[in-house]
Amino acid sequence: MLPPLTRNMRKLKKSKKWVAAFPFLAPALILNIGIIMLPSMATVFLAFFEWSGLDIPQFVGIRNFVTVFADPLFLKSLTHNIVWTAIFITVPVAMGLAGAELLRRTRKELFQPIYFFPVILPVVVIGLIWRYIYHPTRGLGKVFGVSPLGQPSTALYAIAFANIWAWWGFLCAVFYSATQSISKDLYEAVKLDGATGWQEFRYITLPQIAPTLIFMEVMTIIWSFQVFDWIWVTTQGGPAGSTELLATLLYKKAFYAYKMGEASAIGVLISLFGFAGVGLYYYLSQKGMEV
Amino acid sequence: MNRTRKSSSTDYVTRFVLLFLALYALFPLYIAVSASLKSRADLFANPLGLPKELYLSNYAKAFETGNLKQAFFNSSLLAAGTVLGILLTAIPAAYALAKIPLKSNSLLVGYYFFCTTIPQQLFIIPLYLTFSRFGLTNSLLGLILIYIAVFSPFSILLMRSYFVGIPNELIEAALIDGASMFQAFWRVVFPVARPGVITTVVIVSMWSWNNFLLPLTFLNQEQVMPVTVRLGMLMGKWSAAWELIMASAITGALPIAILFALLHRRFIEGLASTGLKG
Repeated sequence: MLPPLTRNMRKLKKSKKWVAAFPFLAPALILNIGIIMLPSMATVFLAFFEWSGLDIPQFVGIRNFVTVFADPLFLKSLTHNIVWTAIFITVPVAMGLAGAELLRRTRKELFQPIYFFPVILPVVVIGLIWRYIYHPTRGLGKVFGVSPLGQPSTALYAIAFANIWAWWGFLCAVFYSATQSISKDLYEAVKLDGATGWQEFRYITLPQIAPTLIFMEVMTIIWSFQVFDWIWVTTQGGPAGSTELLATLLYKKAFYAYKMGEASAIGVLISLFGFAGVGLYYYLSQKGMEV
Repeated sequence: MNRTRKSSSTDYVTRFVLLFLALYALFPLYIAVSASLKSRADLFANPLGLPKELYLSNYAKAFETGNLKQAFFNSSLLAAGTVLGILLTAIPAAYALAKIPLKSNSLLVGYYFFCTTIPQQLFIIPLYLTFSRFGLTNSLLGLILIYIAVFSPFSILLMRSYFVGIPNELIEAALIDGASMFQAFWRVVFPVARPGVITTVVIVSMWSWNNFLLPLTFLNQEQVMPVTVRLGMLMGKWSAAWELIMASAITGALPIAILFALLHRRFIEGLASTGLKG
């Protein structure tokens, strides 16, 4: 019989607590380690081997990384990821902040589910809808005589535009719910001082939700280096590599070209950018606390 | 006087912006729904307007010729299996992390948070090679196991935040009354934590229904493909039949859209909570 889970637990010996906790924690943890952690670590090892997935892996040191960095398509993809990150840490964040601030002022919460609805749709469905909208002989493409996904100069921005449509509502909800814990007195106080709406936002809302804002920015950086679905369901990297991102390049290297080592090296690099994002978050939040 | 007038005019601007954002959110959906209800000739002549005549038959045709029936069955099975697996593994884990005071708890919470930032691209290659060796590719069960592992960090962290708020005295009282630990959990803890569990269930259902990369990688036979992968293939199949493509896209999103219509508060609260860690 398991010991009761009560305050008395504190008095139990450490080992006994472990015995009590183990059956609760183990199933989820074992699955998680087996399916996510160990394979992730294996990828880090694979990045230093040459392997088709069938033959015997050959240790090649850092050659995969050298090959990858010498590949113009990789550098192009990396640039696209950086452009993508720059777009997503600014445009949808600004839209989400504006939406959240206006919702806070008006308390018109009925708009929230409308803004949020695109967020919950499958990416493949949104991709199909926007492919229709952008289609040069159908949809809006026909009306304006353009083919946003067909031209290398616009394709990446066209996909980002569709992604923003399905993303900003999420940020709006996050920021709005952060504003709900701000004391009303703060707003009352500045209102008495004759603050304008912009000043309310700038001097109350923004500093109060800053931790949430920084956190979302950092998560955005991490997610921006992982983007795959949006590209795959619209252009698959084309035309002429103009929408290739690191994640789509990895997928093609692994499952089309069977270059598991190079693909793993890209996987490691994608994660390193993620870690860099987390590091940036801690750096910024620490700096924020000092100020 | 002056000030009230000024504030009412900014009020109009505010309302206008809110309304504009709503139209922006709805416009692409309007385009898709209206396209899905048009005849092909109508669609070609008039891509933006309302349908002249409602072609509801597009939906039946899309469902039939797109072989969406099997895909719907597969997606439903995936979602149901994943939800069940999450309930069985993540609830106990979240409960233990909230109520058994172990020093390593914060380490585990940190580990699970870390897991939510790991890109799926980092583990799919070795996982695919391992799964194919053990015959777990092209298997719904195999993908369900992956989904449980991928979605459980979020589920554990979310439900833990609900369990933490339950006073220990409540559990103690039940135990003193002679309830077993399972009974104490079922009768005392679960009712209080129900909103958290429901939120987890709807979000996990949505994620397993919507996921694309994992089934694309692990399921490539038509009889096991879920809706998302099937929809991704339709473009090649019906390159010009946009009314059918739109009809099947809308059908594919419908189960999640209905769930959202019923429980949008849970979706919004649950997903927004992922951003409130700062």
